[in-house]
Amino acid sequence: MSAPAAPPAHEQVDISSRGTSGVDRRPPRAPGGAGTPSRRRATRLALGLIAPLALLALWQGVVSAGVYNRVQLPGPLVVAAAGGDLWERGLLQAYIAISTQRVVVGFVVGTALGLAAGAVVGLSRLADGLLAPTIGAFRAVPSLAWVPLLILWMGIGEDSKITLIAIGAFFPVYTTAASALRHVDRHLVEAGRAFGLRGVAMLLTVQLPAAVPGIIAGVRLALAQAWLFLVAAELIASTMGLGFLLQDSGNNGRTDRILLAIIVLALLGTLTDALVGLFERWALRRWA
Amino acid sequence: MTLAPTDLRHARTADPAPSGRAAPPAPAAHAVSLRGYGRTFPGGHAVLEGVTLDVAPGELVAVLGASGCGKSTLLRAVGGLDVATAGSVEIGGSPVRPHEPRCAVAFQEPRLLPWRDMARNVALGLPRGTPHGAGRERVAELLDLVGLSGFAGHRPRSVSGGMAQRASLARALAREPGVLLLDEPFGALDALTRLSMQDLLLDVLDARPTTVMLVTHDVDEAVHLADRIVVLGNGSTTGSDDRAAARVASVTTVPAARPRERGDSGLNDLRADLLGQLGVHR
Repeated sequence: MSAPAAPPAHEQVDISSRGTSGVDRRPPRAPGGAGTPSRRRATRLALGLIAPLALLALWQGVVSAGVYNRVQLPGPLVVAAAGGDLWERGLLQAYIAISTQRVVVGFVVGTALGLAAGAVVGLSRLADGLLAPTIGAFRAVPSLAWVPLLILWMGIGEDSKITLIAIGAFFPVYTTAASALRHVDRHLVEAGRAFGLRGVAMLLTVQLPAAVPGIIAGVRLALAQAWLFLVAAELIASTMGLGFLLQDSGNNGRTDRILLAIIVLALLGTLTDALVGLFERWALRRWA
Repeated sequence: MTLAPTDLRHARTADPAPSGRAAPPAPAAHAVSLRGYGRTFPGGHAVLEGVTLDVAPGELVAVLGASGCGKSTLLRAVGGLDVATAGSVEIGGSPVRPHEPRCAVAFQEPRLLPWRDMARNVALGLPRGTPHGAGRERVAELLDLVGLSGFAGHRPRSVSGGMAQRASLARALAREPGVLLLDEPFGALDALTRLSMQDLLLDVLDARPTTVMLVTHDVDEAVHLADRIVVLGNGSTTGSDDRAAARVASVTTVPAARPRERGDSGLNDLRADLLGQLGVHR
């Protein structure tokens, strides 16, 4: 074969049809049609909004029909007014800020520790044998079981709350990181060894990148867990935050504020998950 | 191994600065020497025993044998990816070290890192401590050598199997190996791509001569490429269920200079003989 300047045509692959975004895998439709990416995204967003709007309408309908009394189920406008009232007094912002801060700090700490523990257990057979059963046992403990102990040890300040949230974020990351690192393609690792990689260089060049998709899935789960554990932490002992708003409103019979807190938690959870989702898409494009 | 009179690297590239590509010194081709090499796997299954073989520097030796006879095990022992349980394996007069830095391997599968583009995959083969600029230049040169210069930025999943295998070859060459170990590198490719890859390998070796051990199950490939052909076998041609360890059954010098015509009738007897040794009689 005379050295080819470019590979023969049959070897060239049309990569335009292989979208890597993980979303746009369908073949592109005719230009100007309903298939342009921005149009499709708008369609998706509109589709996703149908159910919440229907739920809102149903809610208002049930309230207008008088199925429950106004204390049991206040209408959407009443809930919005309760939100406006708390906002004007600066409480809603403060609660959102402190809750988000707790989630972010707990999530970051838990994810970092989960990644470290997952790496040790996933890469070392000795560590796997030594530690995996114990960590598995701790994982089986229901989250609320930690609360009394954490309060006794750390008091009712920020430390105990953030620790509880970190515990919640730790396990999904630990589990997925350990499993992803344990199952990195042996062929790739051997090729890396054959080309002189070992230790940290092997970890950074081959093992960690290969495990990224699995680890990210765990990180996304960890964030959801962090919000879950936030409410658990704030329900028990707190004077601020969305969990406190739930608990306090429950004690005072303020159903409007309870619904408000639930809606705000849903929005915050969705928003942070969407942020991690964006990061996931970028990471999968980069590493998968 | 005969050296082409013209340097194909220069003939092939239109690089205006040939002085830059004179920088990497031609790698020293090393001799490979196995003395009574044997490999017994845990559990007592002996795969190979009493293998004694000398490969001269710059020689291209093909290793043929039935599936499961230990061809790849032999190659892995030379590359320091596996250990000998008997005898010795030496490269350039000194024992093989684990993950021998003087060797480079191209596997049957390309084994490219899917998240790196072709250029960065080839760069993985560069010896540790290669300066950044020089490394980039070497990678560009190697991609050019294997005909992938237009695909430096492509990820492995967006190229064909043949192109991925060429990148794998370039990565092995980036190591400036004294011994190039090819473990059925074209075995998974379609027939046409396989033929063009064989010719590409010869072009590449003209440009960068080195010692080559090529494991293959393809008699035609061995006859087309090799200076000498080693057949491994355990004396039984009935099948691979015979658990006896394999040895060197024969070593044959291919009686023709390269480049060879495919289907050269003068080599038919050799082909028939090799097939016969592998248990295929016409």
